[in-house]
Amino acid sequence: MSHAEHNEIKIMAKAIVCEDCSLIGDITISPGCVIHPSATIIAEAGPIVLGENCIVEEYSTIAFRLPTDNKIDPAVEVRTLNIGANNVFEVGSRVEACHIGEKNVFESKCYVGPCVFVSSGCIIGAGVRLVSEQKLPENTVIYGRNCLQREAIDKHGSQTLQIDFLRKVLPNYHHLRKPNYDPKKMRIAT
Amino acid sequence: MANFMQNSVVSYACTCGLVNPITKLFFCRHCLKLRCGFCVCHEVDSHFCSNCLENIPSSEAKHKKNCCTNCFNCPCCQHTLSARATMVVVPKKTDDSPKEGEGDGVKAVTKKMYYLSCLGCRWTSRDVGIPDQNVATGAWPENECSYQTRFNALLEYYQAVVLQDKQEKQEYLRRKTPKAHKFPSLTDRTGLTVSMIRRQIGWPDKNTQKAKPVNITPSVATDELEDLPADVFTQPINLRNVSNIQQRHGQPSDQPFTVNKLYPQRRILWIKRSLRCRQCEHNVIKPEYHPTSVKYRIQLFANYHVPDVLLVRSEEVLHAGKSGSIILKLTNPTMHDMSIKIKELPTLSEELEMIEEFKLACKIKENTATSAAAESLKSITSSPSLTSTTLSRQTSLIEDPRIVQQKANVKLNNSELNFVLNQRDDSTEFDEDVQTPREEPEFIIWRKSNKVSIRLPFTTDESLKVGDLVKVGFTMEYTYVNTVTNTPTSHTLSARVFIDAGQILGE
Amino acid sequence: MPLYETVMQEKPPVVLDIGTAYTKLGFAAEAYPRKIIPSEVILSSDGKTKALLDYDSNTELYDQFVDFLQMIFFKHLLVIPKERKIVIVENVLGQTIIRETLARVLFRHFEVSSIMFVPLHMAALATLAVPTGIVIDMGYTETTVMPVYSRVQILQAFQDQAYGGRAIHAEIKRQLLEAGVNGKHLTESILEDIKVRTCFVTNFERAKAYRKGQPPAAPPDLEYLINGEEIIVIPGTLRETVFEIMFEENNDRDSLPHLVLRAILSCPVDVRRALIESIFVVGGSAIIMGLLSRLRAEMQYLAEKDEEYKQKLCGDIKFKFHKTIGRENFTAWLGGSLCGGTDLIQTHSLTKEAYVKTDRVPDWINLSDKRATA
Repeated sequence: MSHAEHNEIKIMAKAIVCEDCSLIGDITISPGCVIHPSATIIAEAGPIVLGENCIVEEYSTIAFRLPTDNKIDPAVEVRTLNIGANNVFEVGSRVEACHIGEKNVFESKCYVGPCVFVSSGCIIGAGVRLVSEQKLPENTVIYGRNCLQREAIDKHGSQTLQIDFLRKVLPNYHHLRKPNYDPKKMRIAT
Repeated sequence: MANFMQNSVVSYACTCGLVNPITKLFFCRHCLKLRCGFCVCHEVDSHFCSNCLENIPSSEAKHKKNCCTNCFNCPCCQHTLSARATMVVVPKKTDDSPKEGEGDGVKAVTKKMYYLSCLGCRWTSRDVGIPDQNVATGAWPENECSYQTRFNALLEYYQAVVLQDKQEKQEYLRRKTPKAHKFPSLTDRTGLTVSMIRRQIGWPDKNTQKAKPVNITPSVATDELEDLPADVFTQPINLRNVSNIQQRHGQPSDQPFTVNKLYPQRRILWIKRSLRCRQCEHNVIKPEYHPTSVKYRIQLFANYHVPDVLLVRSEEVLHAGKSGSIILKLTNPTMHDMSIKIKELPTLSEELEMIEEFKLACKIKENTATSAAAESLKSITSSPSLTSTTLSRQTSLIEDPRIVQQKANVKLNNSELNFVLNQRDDSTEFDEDVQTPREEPEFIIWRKSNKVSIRLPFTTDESLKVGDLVKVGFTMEYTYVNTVTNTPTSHTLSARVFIDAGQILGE
Repeated sequence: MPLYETVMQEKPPVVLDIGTAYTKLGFAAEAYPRKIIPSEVILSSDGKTKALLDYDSNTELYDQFVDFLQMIFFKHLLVIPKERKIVIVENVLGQTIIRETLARVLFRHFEVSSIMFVPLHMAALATLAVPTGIVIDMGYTETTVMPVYSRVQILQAFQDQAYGGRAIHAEIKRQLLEAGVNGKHLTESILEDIKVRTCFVTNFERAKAYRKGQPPAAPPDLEYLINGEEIIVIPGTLRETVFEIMFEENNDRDSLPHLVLRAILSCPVDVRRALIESIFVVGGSAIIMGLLSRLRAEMQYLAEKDEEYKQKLCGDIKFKFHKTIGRENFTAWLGGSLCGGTDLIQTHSLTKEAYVKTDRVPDWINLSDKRATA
């Protein structure tokens, strides 16, 4: 891989990252995350930090894209995309949001454009296409062909069971990338 | 072969004049005619729930307002709701006095509780404050119509008014018209004797049974109307709390404006349909009762009885006014040999004649049926009123067949093509011996078991322009062996077939 | 057992109120329609969705009715239409072709046993159990006003104007386009959603201020997401003023309050007061928030200040309104349900036998039909 030199993948302990996924750019994967095979994470415009206990399923793409004119303004400091904890990116989702909080679910085949600010507890329904610039308030549920919105009153369940299951099963069938980054050790080193 | 999902290039004209691919046609074995969904009588055969696949008898379905008792739809996105189980800690009351200590008296026990949740929009029954239930089905609260009592009162009132009106009218008629009985009844002539007898026995007078007018409080008009709330001008509204029109119409009785008043909706049942020929009232389609079964008890699809025509290819490039030809493959689906004759479509006047004939046939059938019914009734009873009512049930209006809208724009070169289509025999596929080639007419290109390929030459109309669709149309006469009757009888039937042969190309 | 129970036992009549935008359907003697569905057909010929009453030829209308009723009977009501009684709630001054075609479809294609046509305004009034009132039906294509006195429609006082849901939608679209919104997203369903969820009828004081050209502080603007593709801003003034097309002051004096007052004044003097104190607004467009109080305020104002009305309506005038039971959009259906629940269905229906004889539907406007009944 030619851009392997630029790739700076930090995988923390207890994260399950399958060998067959493509991670491009400066990406930090926090403990407890599960990255399935064929998942793609692209950190083009700046580093991506994936929060704890996130699940990134097959064929899903998380991208931190450059602005459309493809130029990085040197005056602006390089921003880091901090993805919060407990997010789920389901099969075939394409997420390019400029901010992702905690506990969001991106259902299958959804697309979230770069101008969307996703706060916490949101659910982007299957097949939903969000293009326009908008800020999703907390606990928004978007569903259906016409992207209808509603506010979830009941918090949706956490994904701990699923994560535990995946953590058990995935290593049996896939080669995993080794954790290569330990914040404690780094601290000692510096 | 015609497909279910794709548009077919070969279509058949139904008896009623509509043009359909063969997959959408039926064949009535009793009238020996093609039928389509438009000209058969649809009937509800059985009710079932499409979610839990439970068969529900029609009387129960009517009682349940055509809704499934167990399955619900999401009021928010009309998706099916699923029951979810959660473990809830509930304090358990102990029987013995819980005075000794707080910890002993109240024991926490986990209990399985259910709530409804939508997988599409994540709506849950907790969103609108429906308490969790301890059984998964059957215990969900019914939202009652708020004005049901008022409606019942209104209905009762109007029923009484109409009844009273009717009685008055009858009374008036009774008094007005002299008794028309042929045999004067001595007792009932004035009604006096009856009432005297009644009084003697001690029964109440008959006349007092008149419908009493029911009183109803009429609606009161008011000039004190709700003004707009003041905050409507200043407060921003949250669109996510306002229900949309589908959600409102999903709950017709109250149509709430806000989403917090949406309740789970009972899922409407589905039906299995049986189809009946309008002319002879025999079933052409009758499904099996069981919802999970996709089979039929009666299935008279046209492609089990009518030769299937398939366009193989168009031989030449098509130009206006020039000759062209198409290769067709015909398949015999029946167990009997068919002799087939392909000829020109009927002209307009011939078609009109056919329609007239058809109408006449219907009328004759109708008349014989009614007169037969009348005869039989007359022999049973002499009451004229009974006969007339039964007869009136017989009057049926059948829709007039239409002239086929589809028009062919070619002329066949041969006035007639005659050939034989062998019977279907599934065992021939395994036969080793090759059929000895027979003397065949030259238009037959290929033949194997029950299939035949023919070349159909034609001349396109002069008037066609570049890009126009060439429609080849012909009447296909075929012999059909009717096995419904005790002794199989052979009939010559005809079908009008239309084929898209392709577009006219430029020079 | 009372007679009517024998009628109702097995097959309750089907009640249909086929409107231009929505169709209300259900069974007689039930308190609310089973379904309210858009009056659209999915054509069996090419699978496209099309408005029911949008047609070029008679046959086309016939086929659309067949497809539409087929859907109603087998998808929504799940009943066999054959030998069933039907109640149709109809506009008294509706088109003859629609009425005739509907009857032909029902009798010939579905072989129903009888049809009872119920006039819409009478049916609506029946839900109140009052004999007198002025019924205002605000539908999708038009608003009609029909005074009824002692259960008799005063036909010569009938009024109508072409403002209803459609006009409101057009107005919303016009204002949004003016505000610079891309028109390609503004489909009929989006416009309807905007109307239903964001708009209201403002009160009289603020409306007067708008008319004088001194608009008051507008209600808050609203961000509205269209299909996830675009966010448009719905101006507060739009939310407040789209319904003003019904109250516009002009020289024709054909705004809604004028329409009602005109209908009242076309009635005989003796019945006017009774009508004034019994006003009943029904129809889908009447659901909108604030409509009744605005209408009342405006009519009250006109009765006191306008020279013409002041002269003709003397004395202490107080306009009084009835409240519907249930929502306004199915009030007429409810009246049909009440009618179908009584013995009237036996005596006042057009039976198949009668239809066979004449092959047409008797109409009140046709003199030969009147002679026959008299």
